[in-house]
Amino acid sequence: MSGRTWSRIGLILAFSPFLIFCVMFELIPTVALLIGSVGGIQKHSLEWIAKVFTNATFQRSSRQSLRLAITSSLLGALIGTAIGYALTRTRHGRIRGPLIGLASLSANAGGISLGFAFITILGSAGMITILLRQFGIDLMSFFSIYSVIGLIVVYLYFQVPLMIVLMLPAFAALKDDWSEASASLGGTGRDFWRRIGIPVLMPSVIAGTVLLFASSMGAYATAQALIGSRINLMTIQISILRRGEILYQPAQADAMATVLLAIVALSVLAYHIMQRSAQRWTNT
Amino acid sequence: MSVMSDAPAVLATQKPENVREETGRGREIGFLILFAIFAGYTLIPLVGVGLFSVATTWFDTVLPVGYTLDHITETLNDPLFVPTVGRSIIASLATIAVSVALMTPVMFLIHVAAPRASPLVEFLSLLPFALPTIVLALSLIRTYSAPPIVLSGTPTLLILAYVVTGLPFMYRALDNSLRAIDTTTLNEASVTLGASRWTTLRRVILPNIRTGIAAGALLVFSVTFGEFTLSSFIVGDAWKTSGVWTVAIWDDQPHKTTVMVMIGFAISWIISLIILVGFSKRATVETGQR
Repeated sequence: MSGRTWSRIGLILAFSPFLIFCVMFELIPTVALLIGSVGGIQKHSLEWIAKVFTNATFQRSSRQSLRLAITSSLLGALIGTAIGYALTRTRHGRIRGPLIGLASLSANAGGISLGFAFITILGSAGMITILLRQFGIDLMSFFSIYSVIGLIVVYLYFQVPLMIVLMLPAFAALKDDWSEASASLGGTGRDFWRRIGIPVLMPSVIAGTVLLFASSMGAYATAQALIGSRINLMTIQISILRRGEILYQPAQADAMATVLLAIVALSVLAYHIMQRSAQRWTNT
Repeated sequence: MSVMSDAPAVLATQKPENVREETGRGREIGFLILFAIFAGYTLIPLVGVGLFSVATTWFDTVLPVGYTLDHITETLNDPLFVPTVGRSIIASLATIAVSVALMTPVMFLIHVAAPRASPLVEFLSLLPFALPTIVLALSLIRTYSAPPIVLSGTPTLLILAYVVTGLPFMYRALDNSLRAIDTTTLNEASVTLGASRWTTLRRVILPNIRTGIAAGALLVFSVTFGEFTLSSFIVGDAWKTSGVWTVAIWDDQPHKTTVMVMIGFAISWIISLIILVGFSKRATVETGQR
């Protein structure tokens, strides 16, 4: 350290705007939400939290949200890992760069724009819907963009590229030397994957999957643009309860938001833990 | 830790695999099919929305019957275009200003003077990732709609909410650039030469991390411009942003919506390309606001 070190008070003063901001706009609001979900400090009750799990409508919303998040994260993880592997191993080096660029761009996509974009291709007058009709396939008879399956197709638009960019460092960490070492010790290709490849990749795969899960559990704008309130999801339900067009129940909205927050926060925590163990390989 | 990949740099140095050359052909074809599907899946929605924004009539043909620029001029001339887009730009720029002012000194300090505070700053900066946007909206409204501080419904609260969602992006961008320039050595050199701390920050550190600040600012702009969830909950129609307007006109004027969507895509793509190509090989990818 240099001759003039920072005094304790100087440091506290320098840090205080940031800390005050975080306390005021991250911590206090979160605590206020938790208090709101039990109906305030004076007459607190767990009835609203309990209702999230017992009321039929709310049950259905969490079931649909979980179905959507689990399916889209598993599919996104599977496809993203496959493409990540293909990008690492392909001999066509020249298409690698543009595709990685494309993946980084679309991993950030989402929100209302994405919802509207998909309506123009897969809605009832969408480009692909009509194209398929010319081949005699009636897409609308078995698929609707305004359904949970439709939302899965839309969410995969950002899930797959997000998984790709998460997996690329993990695949890059899988050194060629290791497969050569394994082979020279008499290991087969299968041995390599079972003993080395999969154990090295697994933390990254799990980390990626839970992050995709969290991102689709919490997604609201994309779904709102696409389906309005036609599908009962947790985020949509929260907005209905809060806006009060049909029923205004702020405490119930807070309770639902608290449950959603718990699910997403735990997933993000799990992601960080898995990512830390993955860094054992990716940081070398 | 970070949702970050320096894959382009890593992959470029990787040797092409020649061990299993002969068995690789079928696999390579499989790879190419996979790439084609991925590229198509990524680009077709953009083509669809792009065509819709310039289509005359288009409901029972694969491609539009005719093309026109009328929707674009109508959108740009709509009496609500300038106010809504203007508000979004104001909100985004204010967010950038607050974020930079709030985070730069703190990030500088955890690199030179108070490394022990680093985990706390990291935790507080990355916390918004664990907060779904709608949850953040609800919790802010609940906190600031009753005394002592009433901000609900004001652009101020919207901007502060944007600052919260931008924290992880600013943190990553600043952390990367402060790491890259060996801040500790620069700081010590400057202080040894007799510069004050303020002069050091302003004349030595800031010019060196300008690209990092710019990258963070661009990322913040791209997540806040056209944002829907926070603005619809916090300000709604009282201070209509471009995101809220885009959704509101969908039922009556879908072509205008698609023009706005194209503008939004164009902005975020241009920003991502600037960061990807212009700043560094590191592509910071985060889960944005959905």
